[in-house]
Amino acid sequence: MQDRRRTLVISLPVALLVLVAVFPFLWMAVSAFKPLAQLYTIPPRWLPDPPTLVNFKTVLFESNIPRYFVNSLIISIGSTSLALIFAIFAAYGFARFDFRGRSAALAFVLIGQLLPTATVIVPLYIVLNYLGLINTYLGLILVYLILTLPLSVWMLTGYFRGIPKELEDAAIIDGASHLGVLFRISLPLVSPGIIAVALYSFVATWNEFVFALSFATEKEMKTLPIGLAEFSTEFDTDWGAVMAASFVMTLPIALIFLVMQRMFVSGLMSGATKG
Amino acid sequence: MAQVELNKVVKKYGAYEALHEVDMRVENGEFVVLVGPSGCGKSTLLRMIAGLEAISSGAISIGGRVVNDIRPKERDIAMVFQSYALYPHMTVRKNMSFALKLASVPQPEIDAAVERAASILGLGELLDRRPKQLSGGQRQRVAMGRAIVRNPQVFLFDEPLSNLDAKLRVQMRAEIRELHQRLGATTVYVTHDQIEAMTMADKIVVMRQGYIEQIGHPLELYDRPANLFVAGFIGSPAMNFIEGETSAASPQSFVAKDGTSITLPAGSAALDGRRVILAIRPEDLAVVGDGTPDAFAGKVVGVETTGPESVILLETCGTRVSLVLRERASLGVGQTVLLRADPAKLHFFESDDHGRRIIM
Repeated sequence: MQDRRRTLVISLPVALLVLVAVFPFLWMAVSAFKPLAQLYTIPPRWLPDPPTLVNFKTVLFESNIPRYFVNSLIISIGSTSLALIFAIFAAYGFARFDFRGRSAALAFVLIGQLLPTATVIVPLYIVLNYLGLINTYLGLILVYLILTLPLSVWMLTGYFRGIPKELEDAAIIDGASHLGVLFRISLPLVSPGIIAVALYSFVATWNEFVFALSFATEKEMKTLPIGLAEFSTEFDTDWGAVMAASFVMTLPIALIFLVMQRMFVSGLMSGATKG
Repeated sequence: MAQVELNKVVKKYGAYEALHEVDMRVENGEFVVLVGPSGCGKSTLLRMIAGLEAISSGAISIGGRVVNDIRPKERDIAMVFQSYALYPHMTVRKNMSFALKLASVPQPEIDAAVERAASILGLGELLDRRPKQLSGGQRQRVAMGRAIVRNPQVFLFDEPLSNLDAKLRVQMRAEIRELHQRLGATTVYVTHDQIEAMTMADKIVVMRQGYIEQIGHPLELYDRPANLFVAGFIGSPAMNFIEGETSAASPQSFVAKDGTSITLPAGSAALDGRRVILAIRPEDLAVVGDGTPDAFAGKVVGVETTGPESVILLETCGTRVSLVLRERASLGVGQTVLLRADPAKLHFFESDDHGRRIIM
């Protein structure tokens, strides 16, 4: 009896939270399969009757969404990879080496994160323009580093600090160089952290709107979030297509999370030391 | 095999000096234990021998070669850490072969070395397990296996048994000792546990606050501690210290703060009328019957029985002393008993900050 009441106390708020979080996605998924007429009915119809693929046909064959999808993929993967490479070295340095100004530098890394996006758009535009990187993949990839690198460095620093120093000492005695220690010992042990950072970075760049809007103005370079907005014209919004495109855009993220979530919870560190 | 020599080795952290001109020599094949309370610099010293800490001044040589600027992997040493420091993402086999692999040793040789070490340590069936699937004692053995595989000149142990429970610790103590006898490798072993030091060492180095207090054979340290610190650190229960003065009267006696008098053995002339600290091991005190000469009274304040022996805590001579009885004690708390100290087993120390031993 006690137990059941406790379960109820816990599960009710959780159910509520899940409902609030998931409802928009469900609505989006359901709406993507509705014919235009059923989108506007009052009271709303919960399920499409009959379900239709016409919205997906519009999105996949009559719009630029596939192209935008590829753009988004290139830019997000590129930026995430670059962020990981820089963050691994920076975070390892912050976590393991004692140097003058370390804590100041680590604090400074976050300041970039605190600046409102709007304040950096104009300076960035000027710099990118000067370098000829407006409307290029490289331009957006580099710009997105500003977005993802600081938090990535901070997160990974924490993970690296969690590795017992004695493990690295042991590896050094065994004959590993500093880089050897990083790649053979530390990196495999922070793989949950690497996955977390990669996910964070990928999602952040995949969804980013303002920078993409400012620095990718040509049709060939636009990304998915911008593409979504294209279905809204001056007089009309094709909600069915917007929902279908949103569905397409959400799919990779959902898939990645499904595949990766098990790795999040891995207890790789246990057994290293006395534990 | 090689000897290890430390010559005026200093370690500074900024302005703070953690080790002060340490001189020490470990002979070929010797098992030396560095012992001292936490923060005495023993682990730092070991890490300096390993090459994990830089040396501020002085010289460390291994096998006659100064290694100050030589990287750990070129010093031909192996180290076992307190936390075992096994690589959690590798199997036991990979843990043990890691060093050889880095040194580009051919695979058949690596396999042979790992098999040999595994059979010495009884790890044969565990080779394909991960560290987290092992018990504490097994992990400890793998950590030693990782050291053995490399066949190093010098073994370094940094408090390797601290994380084990008491029973396992005793067992591993014997195993390490046995291993040392079998391999005959020069070994430097750090611990804060004086019993470990006493039972394992060929030679003990007692350290405090970055200084070496005494170096010697375990029984030498036990029988002739060089100063109050070593006297109090080695031995359990700890040595009893009684403050007082020696009188010039004849026969010469020691008078404690509370006026209790203890007769000194003949030939203690050097102590005439000085403030000293008298020290006596708990097993050198005895409970005696009425009428025994040179006896003094003490009040029982506690009795701890371990089975084979009893530790009696007493108040006497203005302080608290302990006494070890080999037989079952029928003493009760609050009882007053007569005590006698074996005159041949008395130690005297200066009552100043250094507390140096007064040679009789």
